Amino acid sequence: MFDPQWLPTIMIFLPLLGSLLILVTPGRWRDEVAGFMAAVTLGLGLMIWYAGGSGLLSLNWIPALGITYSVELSGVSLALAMVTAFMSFIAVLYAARRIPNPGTMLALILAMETGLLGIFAARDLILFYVFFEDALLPSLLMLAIYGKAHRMRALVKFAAYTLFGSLLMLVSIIGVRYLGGSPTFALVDLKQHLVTGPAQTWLYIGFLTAMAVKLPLWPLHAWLPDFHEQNHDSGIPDVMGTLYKVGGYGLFTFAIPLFPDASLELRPILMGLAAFTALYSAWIAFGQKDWKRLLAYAGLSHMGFVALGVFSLNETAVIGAMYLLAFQNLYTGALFLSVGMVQERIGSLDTRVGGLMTGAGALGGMTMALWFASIAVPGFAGFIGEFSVLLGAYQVSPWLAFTAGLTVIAAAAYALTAFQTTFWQSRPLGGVVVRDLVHTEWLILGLPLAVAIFFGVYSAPALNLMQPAVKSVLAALGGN
Amino acid sequence: MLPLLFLLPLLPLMGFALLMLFPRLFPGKSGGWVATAFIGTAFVVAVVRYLGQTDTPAQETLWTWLPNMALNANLSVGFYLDQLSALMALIITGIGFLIHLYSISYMSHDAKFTRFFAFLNFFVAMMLILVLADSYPLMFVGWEGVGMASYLLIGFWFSGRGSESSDKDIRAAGEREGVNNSNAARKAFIMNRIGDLGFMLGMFLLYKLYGTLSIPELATRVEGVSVATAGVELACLFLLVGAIGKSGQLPLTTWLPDAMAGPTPVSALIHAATMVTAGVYLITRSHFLYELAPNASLWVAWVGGLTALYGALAALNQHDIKKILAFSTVSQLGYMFLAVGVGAYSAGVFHLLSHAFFKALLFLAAGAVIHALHDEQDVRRMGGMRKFMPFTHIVSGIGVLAISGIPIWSGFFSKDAILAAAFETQPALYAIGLIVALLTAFYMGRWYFLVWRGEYRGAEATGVAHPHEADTITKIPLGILAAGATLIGFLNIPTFLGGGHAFDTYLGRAIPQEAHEISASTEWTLTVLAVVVGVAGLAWAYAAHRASKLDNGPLGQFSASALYLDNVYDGLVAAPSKAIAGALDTVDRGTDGLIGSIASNAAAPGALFTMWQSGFVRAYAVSMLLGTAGIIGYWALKMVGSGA
Repeated sequence: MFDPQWLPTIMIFLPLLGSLLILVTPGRWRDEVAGFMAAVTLGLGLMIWYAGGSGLLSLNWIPALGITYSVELSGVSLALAMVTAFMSFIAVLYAARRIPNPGTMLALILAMETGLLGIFAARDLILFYVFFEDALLPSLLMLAIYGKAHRMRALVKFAAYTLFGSLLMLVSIIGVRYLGGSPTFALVDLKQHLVTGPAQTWLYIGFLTAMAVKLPLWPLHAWLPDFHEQNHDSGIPDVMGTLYKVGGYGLFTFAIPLFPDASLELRPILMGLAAFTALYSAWIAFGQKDWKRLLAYAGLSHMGFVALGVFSLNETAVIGAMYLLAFQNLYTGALFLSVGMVQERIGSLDTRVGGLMTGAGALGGMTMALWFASIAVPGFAGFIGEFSVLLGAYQVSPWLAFTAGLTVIAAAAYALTAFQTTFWQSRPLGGVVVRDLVHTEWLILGLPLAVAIFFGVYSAPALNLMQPAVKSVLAALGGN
Repeated sequence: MLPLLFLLPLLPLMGFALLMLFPRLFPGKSGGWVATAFIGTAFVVAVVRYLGQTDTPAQETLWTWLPNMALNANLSVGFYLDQLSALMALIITGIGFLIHLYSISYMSHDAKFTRFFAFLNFFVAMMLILVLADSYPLMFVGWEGVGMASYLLIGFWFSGRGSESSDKDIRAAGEREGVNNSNAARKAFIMNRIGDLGFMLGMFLLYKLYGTLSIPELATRVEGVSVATAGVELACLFLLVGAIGKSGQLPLTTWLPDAMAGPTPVSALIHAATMVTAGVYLITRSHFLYELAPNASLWVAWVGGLTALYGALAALNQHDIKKILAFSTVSQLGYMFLAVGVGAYSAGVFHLLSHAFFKALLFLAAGAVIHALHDEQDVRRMGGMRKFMPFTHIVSGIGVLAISGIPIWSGFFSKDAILAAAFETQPALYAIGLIVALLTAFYMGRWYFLVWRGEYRGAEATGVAHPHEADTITKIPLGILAAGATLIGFLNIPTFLGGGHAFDTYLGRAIPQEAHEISASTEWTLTVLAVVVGVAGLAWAYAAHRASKLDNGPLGQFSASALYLDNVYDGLVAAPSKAIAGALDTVDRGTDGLIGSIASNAAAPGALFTMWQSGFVRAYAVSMLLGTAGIIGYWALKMVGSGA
């Protein structure tokens, strides 16, 4: 077996290769090629995990500018990369089943996977930026090609928010190196040359803005509901969009080590913002009549928890935030797909249909279980994340933890209300009896659910990855 | 070699997985028998562990689970068996087994027969995790798990039983039933979640105070580490909120009567005998904290006392055979809270035990009647059932005597212990308890006379001219429960009656005992008073029955609408929340518009910016790319120039 150092690079670019390959593959083999590539990528992730992390690979990329190609998958980034590879595989499975002539969609999914894996692996700020922008293109294209009637409005909004954030981030990135005097943009070098004083705060705010758009965090979240509402009915682009919520990860990996003083200084404000986001969006979700908008706000509420955990700088809370960030992809993504399946059957995304479960018991049951996972019922992975976040945040600020904790109640209200009016109660007069799950649909919902249960009951594998990583990052703060 | 503790929850969990994943392997009623066998095996395990118990609690740890939540370590999943949890495990698996057995007959005509048993098994598994957990977070797994099971079972007939019918009227009734059942299930879960937040905050605060959430660790830390009393008091109040939610106490009580929408065995098992007593269990389990928090304990007692009164008042004028029992459950749970609030943990748990028997008995008997009358639940359309169902009549009578506190039945002993403990510490609460005892005897008497005595009034309305006695599978659990409701009291005969407090002594090895300070003569007086009150209540009901005035109980609409609590909540909480959600949605779409209009106004001056705001993504992308390139280029030139 060769050096695990190179595995992340292969893992990152394999999906891109697959994406290009699909363009030249005859139509009837495209599903298989995409599925194979996605599965191999996931396998590579497992290999890295088995090897106990990849170690850092660092090459000079553009020496004149001090830009390096530094990648590493270990700890938190490895966990996130594996979830990404897993959910991309699920998305490929469903695209192959649901979308007629799915070549373009499959290529876009794989292309986006490359960008996302790159974001998690990058250990150089410019490289991070490159992958960050790279993942944007496929998601814009998915919306543009497969979106609904008002997609242009949603697309402009999404692009404008993201690019505005990116610009600030780029300025901050350059500022970090220039003001700190680091020889390269590699994270290891930057950590040795921290910017100090008020400049650090300003650079942090710049970086934070970009990440707040991508978290997202109130008030920079407005693109999110439209993005999900206008995307393809199947929910496949929404799965990838959920995976693209990398703000929490960026803050954890780059912002805390590079801006330690500023993170401490702004902690109360940012925690307040995060707690508010969680409660505010859960409450709005309660009033939604469109499943996609509902799930968008539910996801936003989870991101409020993630942000609360990261901003609190408490070890337990940060572990919880990373746990939640990784595993919410499973059930939020799978919920988008289950909603896609509902739409395929009844042609509507409205939450007030009623009686679906009389025909589609398994679809209803799986959706219910995923909802329970989503509202952090213990026994599912989400609980470990949310509970740790709230417990850690309570140690820092009881009132904010209480505010965010109210979300627990609101979440039960929005989830069960929408579920009840769609799946329970009686079928409307003249409504069709819908078909239950068939073929791969069982796997598409069942696999994420099984993984979410596994890591909710037996957390050690994921905890062993995350706990040391979080400890070492927080150690930079000088023993919190 | 004793069987390991994890087998207890694992056995029913296996039953659940099997019945959920492979329902087709179990044709006919076999699924019900399999589920019952799993619970039966779990009961055997519980008995073996009970018999093999020593004075030192057993703790068995499995694997690590939550980060940092034990003392300087990650928290593990582990089970803990002391006298309290052993007793709870016996109640859950024992009563659970009987109710499973009963359900094989009761649910035999249901289309989702196997599914029902899967859910019941799931419930038992979660309840066992709740009582056997060695840490608060693991207890919380069971805590929310039983909530989930309760949600699934209350909403078991989520679409209404007749909603697919071709008959228009049956269909409309089915649709209404579907909406009602679904709403009841959802309400139960959401109200429980309010309590759960309290429970969670309690855990957070305990962690802050003591740095661990493992219960045995906490129990030792509490003695060694001194923290501000205010902190412990607050933590205990938080835990009380959790207990209130789960046990349907004031003010989170309104979900429990609604939960009667579920099938009757569910009401018996979950909403009477086991799940709703979890709050009492939580407080008893946390006794080492409540002992440090006198004010919080007082709150527990008053919540219990007031809820006991509330439940009794609301039960006076109900017309649904199950609703009367539901409010009675609320009221009896109030008694248990009262007991643990005044420090009489053993009395509270003893009442929990006897209540599990007589209330499960009453519910199952009510289920038999409902079946015999083809789903009729209105007591005004019953009457004279003793002629049709003699066996069920006798066991129901035993249940009524037990709950009314008539000697020798179990309720007499357990209620007496609570009233005596209240008399010692809180005379006002004792007075409330005595009034509640009177009301209890009356409304249970009303229940008994309306259902079993007098003339059969429902032949026309129900269409059943000759109701049939229950079958054998139904009779076995009823008989065993009736025997229990009669004899369980003798486990704990108080000293002044010549007994040895066997139950108190047993539980005393795990939970501290309150010191008895009242004299035997006072105790005699209290006992006689309690019995007189119970007999008076039954006599009152009998007198009203003779005068044919039982159809409508006292207090009219005030009692029938459960003191209007539901209406208050709908007006004060439900409607405003919905309105706020709508308003926030508008605001949220507005923020968006606001930012959008700022952007377009900012771009207004100058034709150049107008062109730039073309709305085409490619234009944005290009300008961003150019801008980015420009900045990178600038820095590049600068750095190259400076030789960096």
